[in-house]
Amino acid sequence: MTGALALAVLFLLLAIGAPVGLAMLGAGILGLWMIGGSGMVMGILQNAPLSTVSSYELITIPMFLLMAEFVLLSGVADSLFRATAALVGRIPGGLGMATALAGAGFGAICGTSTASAATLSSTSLPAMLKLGYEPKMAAGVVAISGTLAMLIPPSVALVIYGLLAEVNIGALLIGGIIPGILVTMTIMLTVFLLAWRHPERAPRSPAVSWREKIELLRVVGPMLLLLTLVTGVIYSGIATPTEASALGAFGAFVLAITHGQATPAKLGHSVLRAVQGTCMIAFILLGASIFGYFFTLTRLTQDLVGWVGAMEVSRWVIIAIILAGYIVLGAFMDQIAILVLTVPVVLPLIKSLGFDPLWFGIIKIVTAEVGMITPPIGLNCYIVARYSGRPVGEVFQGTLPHFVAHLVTIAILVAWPSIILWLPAQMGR
Amino acid sequence: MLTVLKIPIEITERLMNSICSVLIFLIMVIVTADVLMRYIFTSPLSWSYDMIGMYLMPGLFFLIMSKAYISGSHVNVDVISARFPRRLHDFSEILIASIGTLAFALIAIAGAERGWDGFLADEVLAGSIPWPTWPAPLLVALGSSLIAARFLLSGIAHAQALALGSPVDSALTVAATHAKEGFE
Amino acid sequence: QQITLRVADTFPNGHTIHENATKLFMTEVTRLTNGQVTFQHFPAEQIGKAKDLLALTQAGVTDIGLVVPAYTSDKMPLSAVADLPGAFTSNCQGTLAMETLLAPGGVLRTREWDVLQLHPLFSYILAPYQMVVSSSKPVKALADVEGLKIRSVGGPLDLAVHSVKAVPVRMSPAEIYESMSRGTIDGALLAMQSVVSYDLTKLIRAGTIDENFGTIFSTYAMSERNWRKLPTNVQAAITTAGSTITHESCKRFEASEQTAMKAAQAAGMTAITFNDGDRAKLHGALLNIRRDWAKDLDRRGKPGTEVLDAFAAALGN
Ligand code: NA
Ligand code: NA
Repeated sequence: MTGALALAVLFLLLAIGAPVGLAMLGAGILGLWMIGGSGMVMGILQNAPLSTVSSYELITIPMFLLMAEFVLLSGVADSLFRATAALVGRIPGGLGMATALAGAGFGAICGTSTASAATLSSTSLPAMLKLGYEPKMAAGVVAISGTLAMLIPPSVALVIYGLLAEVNIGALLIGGIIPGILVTMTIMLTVFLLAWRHPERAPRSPAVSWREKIELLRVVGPMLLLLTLVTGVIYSGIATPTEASALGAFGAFVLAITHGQATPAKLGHSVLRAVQGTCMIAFILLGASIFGYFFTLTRLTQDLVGWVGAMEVSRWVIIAIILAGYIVLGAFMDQIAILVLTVPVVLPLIKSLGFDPLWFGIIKIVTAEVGMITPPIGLNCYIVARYSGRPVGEVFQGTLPHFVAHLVTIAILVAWPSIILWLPAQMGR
Repeated sequence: MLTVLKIPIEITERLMNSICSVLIFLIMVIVTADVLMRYIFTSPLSWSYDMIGMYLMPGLFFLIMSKAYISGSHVNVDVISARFPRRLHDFSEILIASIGTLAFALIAIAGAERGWDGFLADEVLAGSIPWPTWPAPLLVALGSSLIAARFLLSGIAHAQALALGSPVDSALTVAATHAKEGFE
Repeated sequence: QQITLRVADTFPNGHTIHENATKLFMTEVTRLTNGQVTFQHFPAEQIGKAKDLLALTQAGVTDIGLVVPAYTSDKMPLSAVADLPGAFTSNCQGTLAMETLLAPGGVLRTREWDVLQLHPLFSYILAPYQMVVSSSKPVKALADVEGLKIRSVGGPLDLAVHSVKAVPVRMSPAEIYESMSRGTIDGALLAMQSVVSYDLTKLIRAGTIDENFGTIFSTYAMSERNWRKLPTNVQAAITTAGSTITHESCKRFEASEQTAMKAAQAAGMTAITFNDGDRAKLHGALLNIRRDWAKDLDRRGKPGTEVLDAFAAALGN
């Protein structure tokens, strides 16, 4: 009864537009008060808020956000797209495929998909439009390619999943690499098929001379620097995955100073955005922690797990229902909010069904990618629309083929878990 | 009248902005220095782990909370509420602000109590550096009272608007618009 | 009447401490009270992190909570006496000495636990920690340890690492394996049972086998307020069960530490046995850590030396 009331309050607050963190905080305090009175509420409020953020391991979130801001400022992304375009531009849908490749490359040095979408919107989208690409198709491929940044390490979303699910974050980040490549190829294949069926939607680009191609290799330097600082230092044992996030931010800072047009004002703005982003994520984690106490003490999770476990249904049916639920939720809600609201409840269920939490985390992030491009709340589509000045509806239409292709990819990842689990296993886990 | 109340809040927020920008930058520099000192000279910064976890991270998060909130960095689901008529909108904002004021006032009181008790008892961590543990809950109390004050101001502004039937002074509200940019 | 008590700790379900202490305690209390008392177990930090469980237990958020003085050294500095390096090597010797100090009227009970309004139920030590080394550099003498990067958890364990001129490095347990396999760290201070459960045996090349570089002493406790609410027959049952489990589990952990030690050696860990000169030097340095600890607390107006002496007396030294 208490559980139902607090859940009702949670959904009411969400419906009237309360921020997710505040809704969980308010509903959680109410629920705890009903269970144990003011003594319990104050006992938890004395500890949980500070405990949520006083952790050294949590620095990955501000550091990845800071790195993304500095990478944006450095302008590395522009040259990255020009280099990939020179490489594959002549193939049907070449510039679209180059966008996916640049999205993957940018994803390898940037931890947030919205930063990536913003970058691609200002570099590859104008290039495609200039060449005569159908705006719908160009915008669609930009929106979806941006989402690669949350799957390919570094990734803020994977770190948050790792914190919530208590999965080894290093292994989780490594686990994103192969699915990231698979999804990149899916996007490229989708673009190729679209361009091959309707060549007029995606004209070919003019040839680029070999001299120019080699010129463009200069982008490799900064890329390698950042890749080394984030992934390389972990492999070579110079730093732990936690520390690597700070090294990545520092490397991006150096790049922003040496490559970009970084003024003190611009730097200050970037830093402030990273701080506010950190706060936004931690605010949700704080609300989730308080609401989580309520959920734990009422044993709602255990009851749910027991209830589903007693059902005479194949575990594959259950996972299909969960994933379908995620795609529906993803249409309406922010991805971090979805992670925070659902992982504490769904993960025990996933474990009790015998699925690997690392595998599930990667699958969850791929469904989150889908959520970033589905209406009505598809953040990447809004970003592309804003940067390009095109109507949002058009961008959503352009992502439709990619939505379908992503569903196929999810099915493949569910059917063959080793695609996800093989690489982390090579790390010795 | 309400606008006057806003001034001290805004000055404090601006100060917190600068402090938090310094904190995040410090974390980046300290961790990088720690790794380099350990790798090259085998002498890591022994104080960095506790200092970052105990003070810098809580400071970074709690001190910016109010400013981050009014900058619209916080995420909500406005599919339904965007269609609310003005009076219903005012009403729901009053509800949200009341919850925000109450919740963060409680967190601030809890943090202040814990910090003050710890200060009186001179609580420090055992180890080579006796870090005091009481400043961290005081950071929680400071940041939480700031955002509680913001919510209170917003609630009053919406109540006034509802009573007078006039549009709310947008400079006073903390209504989180749906995040235009995300961090995932 | 029926009583249900919440028990909160930080270990994942099925952890050796659950199997060899927590669950035994719960079963024993239920048995002694003929089913009047049952438990709801919240493992895996479900009700809070290790450093918060003291306050959450005091507040009654959980009835019984895991209290680890090492993680709340600001609130209970004196109870860390068992964590100090070098005082004992037998698990039961250390655990039972602490039981004496925590018994009603014992110095820790009156000076710290009564002040915090906490009622200890049963205690354990996983094992005195050994220094395990994963670097390829052979370690035979104390001088070979100098400059090695050793993962530690702060507090007295850091001081123990310093005392042998090695370098303490902090990181979460989840990062130990990767950091060792890639040389970010050269070793760690751990119980052999943790070496086995973190799957480190194939990375460890050498390790001490009979030293004490410090440890983490832990207690399951209740707030005095909730304790006084229990009927006397239940209090008696819990007291009896607590004592039984403290005595039983120290033997079990001693045995599993030996098993783990054998497994580590079978997997290729060379035993580091220092010569007499090195041993005297090491034990002298560790004794200094204990004395400095006591003097430091004395200076802050807390009975450090009194507690250290009482612990030494209880150990029979
Ligand atoms: Na990424
Ligand atoms: Na969506």
